[in-house]
Amino acid sequence: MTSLLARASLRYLARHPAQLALAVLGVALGVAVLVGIDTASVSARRAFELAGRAVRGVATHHVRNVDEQLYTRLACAPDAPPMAPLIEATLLLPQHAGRTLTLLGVDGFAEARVRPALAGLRTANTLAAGERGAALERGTATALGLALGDRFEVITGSASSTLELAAVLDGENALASAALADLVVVDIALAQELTQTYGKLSRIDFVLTAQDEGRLRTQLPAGVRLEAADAREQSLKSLTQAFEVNLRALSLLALLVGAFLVYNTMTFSVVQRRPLWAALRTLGVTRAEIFRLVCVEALAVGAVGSALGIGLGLLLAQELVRLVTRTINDLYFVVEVRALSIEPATLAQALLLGLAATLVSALAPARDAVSTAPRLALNRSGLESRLRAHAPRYAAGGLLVVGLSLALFAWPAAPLVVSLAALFALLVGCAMFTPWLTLLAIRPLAPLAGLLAGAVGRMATRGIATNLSRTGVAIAALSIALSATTGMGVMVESFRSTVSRWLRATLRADVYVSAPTLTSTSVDTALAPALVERLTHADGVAGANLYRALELQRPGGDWVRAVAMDFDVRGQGALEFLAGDAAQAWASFEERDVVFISEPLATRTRLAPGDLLEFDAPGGPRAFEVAAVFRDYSTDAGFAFLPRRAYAEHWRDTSLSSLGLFAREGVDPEQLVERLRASLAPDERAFIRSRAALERSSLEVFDRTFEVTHVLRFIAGGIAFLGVLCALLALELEREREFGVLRALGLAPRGVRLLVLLQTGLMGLIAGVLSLPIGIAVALVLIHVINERAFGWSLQFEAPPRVLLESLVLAILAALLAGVIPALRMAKIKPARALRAD
Amino acid sequence: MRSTLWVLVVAWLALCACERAPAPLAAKLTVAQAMGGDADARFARAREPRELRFPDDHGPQPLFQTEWWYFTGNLADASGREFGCQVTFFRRATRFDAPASASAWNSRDVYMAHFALSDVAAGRFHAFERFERGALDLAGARIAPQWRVWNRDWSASGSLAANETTRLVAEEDGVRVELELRALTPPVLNGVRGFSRKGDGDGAASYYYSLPRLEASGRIVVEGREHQVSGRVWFDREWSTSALEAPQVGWDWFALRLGDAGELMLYSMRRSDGTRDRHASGTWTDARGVGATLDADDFEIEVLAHWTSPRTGVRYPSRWRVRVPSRELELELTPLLADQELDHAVRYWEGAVRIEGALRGARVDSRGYVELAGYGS
Repeated sequence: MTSLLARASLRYLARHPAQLALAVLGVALGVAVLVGIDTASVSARRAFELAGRAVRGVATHHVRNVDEQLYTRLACAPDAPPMAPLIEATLLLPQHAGRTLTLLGVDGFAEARVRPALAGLRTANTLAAGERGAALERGTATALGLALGDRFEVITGSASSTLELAAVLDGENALASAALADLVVVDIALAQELTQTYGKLSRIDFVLTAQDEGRLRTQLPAGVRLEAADAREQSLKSLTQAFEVNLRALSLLALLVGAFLVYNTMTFSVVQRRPLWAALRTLGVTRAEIFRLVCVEALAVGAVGSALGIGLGLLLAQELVRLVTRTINDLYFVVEVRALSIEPATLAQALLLGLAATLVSALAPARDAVSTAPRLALNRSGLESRLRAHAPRYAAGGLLVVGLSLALFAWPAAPLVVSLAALFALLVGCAMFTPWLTLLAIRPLAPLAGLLAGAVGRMATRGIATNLSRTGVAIAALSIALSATTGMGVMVESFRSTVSRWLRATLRADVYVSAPTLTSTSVDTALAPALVERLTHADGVAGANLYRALELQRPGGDWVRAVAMDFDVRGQGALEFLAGDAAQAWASFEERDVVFISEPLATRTRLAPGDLLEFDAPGGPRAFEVAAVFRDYSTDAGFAFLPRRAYAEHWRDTSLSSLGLFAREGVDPEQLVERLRASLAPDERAFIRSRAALERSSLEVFDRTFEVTHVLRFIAGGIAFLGVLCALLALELEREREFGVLRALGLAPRGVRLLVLLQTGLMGLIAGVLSLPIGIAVALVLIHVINERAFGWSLQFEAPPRVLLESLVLAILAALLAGVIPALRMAKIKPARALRAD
Repeated sequence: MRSTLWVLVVAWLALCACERAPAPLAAKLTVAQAMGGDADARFARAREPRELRFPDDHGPQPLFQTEWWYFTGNLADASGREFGCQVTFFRRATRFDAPASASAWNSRDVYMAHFALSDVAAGRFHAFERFERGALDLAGARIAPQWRVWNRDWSASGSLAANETTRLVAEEDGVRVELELRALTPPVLNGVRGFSRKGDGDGAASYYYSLPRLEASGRIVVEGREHQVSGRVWFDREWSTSALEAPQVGWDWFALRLGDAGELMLYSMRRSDGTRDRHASGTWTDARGVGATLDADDFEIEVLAHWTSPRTGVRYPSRWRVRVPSRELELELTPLLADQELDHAVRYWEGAVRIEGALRGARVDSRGYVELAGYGS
């Protein structure tokens, strides 16, 4: 009996290869997105860890941002543990498309104690004092086209200088090489010259036993904190977690749409074989056997699709990793991904999810296959009428699911994962509404279509209702995919317009000057004091905002981005305070140790005006009163503004990282920019941009950040399109005889084409219209729940008609396009052959 | 021929200068590799005898490219448990001018230091090596306000004048030597009034003096145990700007105590064919602390046995017969430990030896140090 069943199944699948292929493709695409996104994130994270390890070496602990004298004191103390000084900074290669590398200033003699990977440098010329030698990893040197002895230009802070490739580094193995890939290693003295950080060290790394650790702590001055070597990496990694969770959510969405496709295919294949099930049942095949058969078929589709999807996903990852890395570089930290890290766990997880999604979406059709009585099963109209009757019941179920998800959204302390799960529930719940809403929509549409296209119009409309088992699923799949993409689109648009408004409000100065770095994350790039002096006193400059970007540590060990600033009076309106009194805040900013904290920082730290925010300073912890919370979209890590006066006093640092210059009345900002640029000395490098240019480039960064979501939207849309095509092909096969009858009754092929296209167009229209409210709901959830919880950003909702219209048009186009092949094939039907079966 | 141990440093740095690709540290240098080193013409050179002044000349000689301060000691605790110890500080300028830079890490000088302890009873030899730049007080040498030479926490400081003390401290990996030194003789000048010729070329020479008789007391910590020790330490000091001349490949150096009779220093250069170079010499310090120079013809050194290092495979001489016929001296030297090889950036053997023999018929049984450089090249 089993072999008979298997044969029946195989024959059926072999006779419907297109159906089968589409289902497999649906699963494959869903799994591919999952694998692609996961592999890209994992690769970025792994590259970050490796880079951290190369820089960390065997160090167990470190202290950061200390005076170099401390190193002498600790290194020369009796019984000193192994330690090595380090200068770390970001460096730009202007001749290589502005590639960003990490500058590592090391003392070659100390390296063997802490970073064995760099110990070989002891014998390299890079050490020679007064030389410009640098070491690069062999692969990096090759990629940059540099040979030993070649010179290359680098930009650190606002200064351009030339280094010479004096040594190449070879990792002991591929992993070690990858770890060294984005490093430029130079002598520590040269690093201090390049970064103009005389007297300071970025870090001292230690290799400590538990006993050493206790002793060392007593030797450290107040305000210097001994940290575990990977503490900073951990805190940086946790920052990207929200970003990764969101990406994963998007990829799961793609899988969800893929699952609809499987559901569609399986439903169709089950429904089409109703006579077969009935026949089998009368032959004595049990319900369980049929149920099992359908499940096995689904699993086969799932297995093949998942395997294919893993392959596709790895291809996709090549492209996605670039997008993901760029976003991470823009928003979080600099990382260079040399190779994909393909984790077996990722692949296994994707395979399981692919199989599970197919199996779950096949459960309903499988139940359907066994739930009808043999005799009734032969009667197809029975199914359709039953489905129509059940449509309101599905809708009620959908209402319940939607209600549940709304309840989850209302739970304020819900973890991000729960909120995302609720978002899925919302989508599934809305999908359950579709059959009922479709029926509702048909009623007014039918007479309308009749008026426009006569009998064909009415038939097209009613056909949607009478074939609800196929059309309903297709419409649901399409509207879910569309609402997901609409939701994302509306969210991104809202985000963009919020940011753009905020930029316009925040950027008050006419000209902005910063050290030339591609990333907004570096805090180590400083403008040369002479340059600052010249620019702020240039002709046509009326005043200046002075900024110093920082990373400060809280006594708990947590790192916080901060900007020490000196605001020109003209710039004070730039901050929009969400909490705290503006006049009072500005007054205290002038005189006291206060901070303004950005909204994401307030969310993350749960600090409100009046609370104290403590930072470690060289003389010990310093408490700053939170005077206000301001709106900011520059970083989801959040940051604080503190008075430059207070920073200079407590940290004894007066360097600057950027300037905002105000033009004198009547001076054209663009002309001022040109003049200031012309005043740069040949070896000085600085980004001098007008407000408009900075606004543009900020939005470019923003757009780059969301490029990855565009890719995902595109893929989800593609899967939805496949879904519609799949449903229509099913319908076509199903209704061959019906069309035969119509043709026999005198309907011309043109009429058949019109009928099919009208029907699919209507389905697209219904899906498109349905997707609008669902999409807006999704956008609202993304904006007010997900973004606020994950990133601490409050965005202003904005649904531009363009995005909504786009969805609608996309829906109709997708449906029409999917209808083309079926329409052409239907029109070619020979009535006689179609009717012969009767 | 202690006078050119600096060559080892030269060798190490010569590699820095000419080998552009990173050489693995394991690649050991031969002394011969150093021979091509061309120093900046602005460095001072040892060309003729000059008056050495103390204590000033104990301090740094920055006009010369290379210098070192060398302590070797033979010590024992109250129960007679013997130790040998070596603490050496080297300075080498990588260029003549200090680099013009605002960074305090910039320095033209590299300091290397070696510290070794021969734990004779335990049969163990502990050896350590350090490099630091002469910056930020990580390593350096100075004469004022008090004489001090140091490499991180290894240091020699105080005064080498009569009746004053010098403190010598070195510690690494649980091995610690901490000694108080008192000079029992004034500085003894080697060669011609401290001018020691190494080769035929212009400036192929160094300024070289010794304090061969330092009374030492203090403590040694090794393998978790502390030992109160006393004994004698030999201090050698040399500075120069010169390169080895082909075909010299290395040297043997002997610092021998002769009981109450005084001390004998001998060095003998070796050529690539294994023969003795004519630039060999010695200094006989008598009981009163007065030195007399020995020429190459005044002494004979015969190798009686060899030892092959299981670690590096290098074969070193390991027993010698030393004769100074004019002084009626015949000695046999035996290493207290066969393995006293320093397998560092530059590889050499430096170890405590037992001295047995006769001086003018009187029996000699004492201790000394031997250095063997340039083997296995």
